[in-house]
Amino acid sequence: MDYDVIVIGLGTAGGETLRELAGTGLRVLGLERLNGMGGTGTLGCISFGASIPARMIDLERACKAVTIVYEATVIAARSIGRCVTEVSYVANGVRFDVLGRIVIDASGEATVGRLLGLPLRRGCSFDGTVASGARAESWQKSSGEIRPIYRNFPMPCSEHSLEGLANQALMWHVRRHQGWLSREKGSRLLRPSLMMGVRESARYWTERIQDLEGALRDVPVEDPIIHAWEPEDLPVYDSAYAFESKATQNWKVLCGLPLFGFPVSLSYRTIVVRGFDNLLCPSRHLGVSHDLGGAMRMQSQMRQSGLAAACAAEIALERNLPVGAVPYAELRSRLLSKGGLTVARKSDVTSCGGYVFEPYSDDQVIGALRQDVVRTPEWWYAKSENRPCEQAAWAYWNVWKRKLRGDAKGVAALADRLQSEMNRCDRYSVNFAVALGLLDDARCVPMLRNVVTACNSVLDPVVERAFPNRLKAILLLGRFADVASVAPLFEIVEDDARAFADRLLQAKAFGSLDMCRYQALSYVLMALRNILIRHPDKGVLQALRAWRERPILLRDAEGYDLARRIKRIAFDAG
Amino acid sequence: MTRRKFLKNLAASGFVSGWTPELWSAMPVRPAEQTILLGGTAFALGMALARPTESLVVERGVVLAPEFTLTAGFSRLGAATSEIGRELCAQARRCGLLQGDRIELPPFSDFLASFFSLRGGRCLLETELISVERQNGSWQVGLFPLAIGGLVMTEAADFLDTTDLAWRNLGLDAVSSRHLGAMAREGDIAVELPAATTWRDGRLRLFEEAERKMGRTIISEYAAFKTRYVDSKVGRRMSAGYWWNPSAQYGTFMEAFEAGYAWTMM
Repeated sequence: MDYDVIVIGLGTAGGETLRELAGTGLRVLGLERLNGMGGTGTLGCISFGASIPARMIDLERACKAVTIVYEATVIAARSIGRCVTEVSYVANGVRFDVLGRIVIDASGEATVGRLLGLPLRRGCSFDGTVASGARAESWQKSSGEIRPIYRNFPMPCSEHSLEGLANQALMWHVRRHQGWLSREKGSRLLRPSLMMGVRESARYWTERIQDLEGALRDVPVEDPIIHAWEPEDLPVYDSAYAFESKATQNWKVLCGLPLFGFPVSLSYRTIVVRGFDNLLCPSRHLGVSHDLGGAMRMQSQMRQSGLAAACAAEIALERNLPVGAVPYAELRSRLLSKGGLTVARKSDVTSCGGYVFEPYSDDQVIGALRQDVVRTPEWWYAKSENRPCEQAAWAYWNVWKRKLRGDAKGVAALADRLQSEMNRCDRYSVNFAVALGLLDDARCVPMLRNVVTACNSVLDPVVERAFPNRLKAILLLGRFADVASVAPLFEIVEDDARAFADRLLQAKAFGSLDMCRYQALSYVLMALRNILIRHPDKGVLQALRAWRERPILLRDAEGYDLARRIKRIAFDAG
Repeated sequence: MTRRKFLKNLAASGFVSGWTPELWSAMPVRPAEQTILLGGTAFALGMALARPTESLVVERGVVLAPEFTLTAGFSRLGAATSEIGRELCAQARRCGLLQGDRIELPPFSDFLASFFSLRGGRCLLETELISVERQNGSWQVGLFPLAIGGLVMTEAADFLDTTDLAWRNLGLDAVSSRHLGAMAREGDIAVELPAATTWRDGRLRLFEEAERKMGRTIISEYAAFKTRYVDSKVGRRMSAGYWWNPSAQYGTFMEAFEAGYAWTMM
């Protein structure tokens, strides 16, 4: 059979693509592995309050004019030159080969790319894991509310698929259910998710890849198709995210803004697969780096990407153009006429509570850092002004933002002031040292070293919730490759971070001793890795390898093996 | 199939790393002696647990026993007759899933995954069956595990299809009707559909029925059809070493599980 457009995967993005193409008169084929449309938002059980069956039937009714094949698995794809020419799928044991002028892969897992053997970006950038999830849909009898329950956990890419992943995921699922059933007697589980919740398993190399640093630098996007909101919904306690990129370290760890968001616009070229004239890739496998992945996790953004793919395909077919040559002005006007390109919030950075920060002057930065920088759970969600912790986070962001904007003169002047404040050697000195670290200014190193080696001194007083400074110090020492820190850092590893985590708990760190040890070991191993890459030391390396072989019991609240995770990241990744 | 040939096939698929060492070590010494069970159904699970090293369950979805767990919210579990069946019931009760003889089906599916894997059962989830061919007295089976994204060939002495309509709908003539149900605020509803109905038609009929009867208040549509059979035609030997015995023909989960546990190839 011959089609104008083949859409693979009818999930949130693909469903929108198909709905849009249904009214165009084009010959369209939609292939879906499950038995309904909507993907994660329907059969994947991520739906807050909405009726999943109603959503599915609405999509199906809107797509009456196109051919949909459910329970179809795409098993092969062929290409000639810069074009994907043929797609093969199996439905109930029967194989079909179909031709398409344009192929839109909305599977979220780069299905066509995998089958063509294209180079792909796989898993998290730092250790190749995928964030898998087990999910189910529940119903509150009293309120009539339908809501998802889920548990995410990282798995290596290599285990994504077979029973290793599936059964582990399902076992998590069981535990979740057991706990849930005993807690919420008035509720009822409706059904388990029909799909594995897998993020980041494979992403395309597209004509443009956008990353977190670019987004924070305000690198211009001339051809936006999606106005997203970076919600940063990664677990706050999982220090592994610090391995993602320097931008992530600065944003989440040093500034301490893990749950703060900012607007991101994604370019049309993030859905045009590099090297192909007729392959588009809306959905989560598009051209964003892992550290910006949060911007494409939400259903509204997925739908925007699906709509953009449909409009681009329409234009390309009308004008007989390669998808990469679709005129943006025309695409933009078509998107606007169809309700796409909804305007993102204009604020620079905002907390979950919606409080928008204003830029600080140098004096305000200094003033904000001359306070105890603490972190409380309430802070992340609170909508309040003038809390010292918020002011500090905003001060750090201001410092870093100035560097990102390339304001060399202003940065130099600010750095000098920060250094002079740091040299007062009082309880706030480490705050200024961290700010200097954000400016990549090595004058902060001796102060940071003191924090790691001399906890509970005047430089690092036991202030409630002040624990982040110690972790920040370790991270920065690694970044500056400070050889003198190797010995104290290795001592922490040798002790499996027991004493260090105890001190974190004294400063009222969140979570269990194991979680604190996990955080400490993550940062220390990352720092040691950075230092040893630049200053190799055979003795230390050998000792670290010996430590790696030593069994450590380190589990999170649900029994996940954190020691295995951190060892894999620190020793095997990259 | 030799270990080398097996790896060669995997290499040809391009994604060798997709096959876990755990799964590899669990492969039987002589795959040619294994039985492949199509469908992660209650019947297949029972049979696989009776001979864990000789059986490989192939399921295209991620839910076990979908013919029961995805067709209703609550159901009678049925009576266990074997030791393992009684153990399964006892554990389900301890987990709070079983109250009297009524089992809460959605979480039961995941409970089964845990129960099955901890007893050494082997199951490939998200795996599509591509081909089954008789060659030199055994079955050459082509599988397409989703995340590997490539064809994997394996071999089996016997092939037992436990799915509702059989692979390629070969059992369609044995089906008298299919039902699609949903949980609505006012109580469960279901529509009767022709044997060869599609998901699209089935869902549309269900919604029309819901709208006609009680307004649009469906909370959750059940994600599998309930199938009824013509008794005289259900379950058959397709050819030497190839059977079709749908798990959905049994009234309860435990009935299907125990039938699978007691099944012997003839």
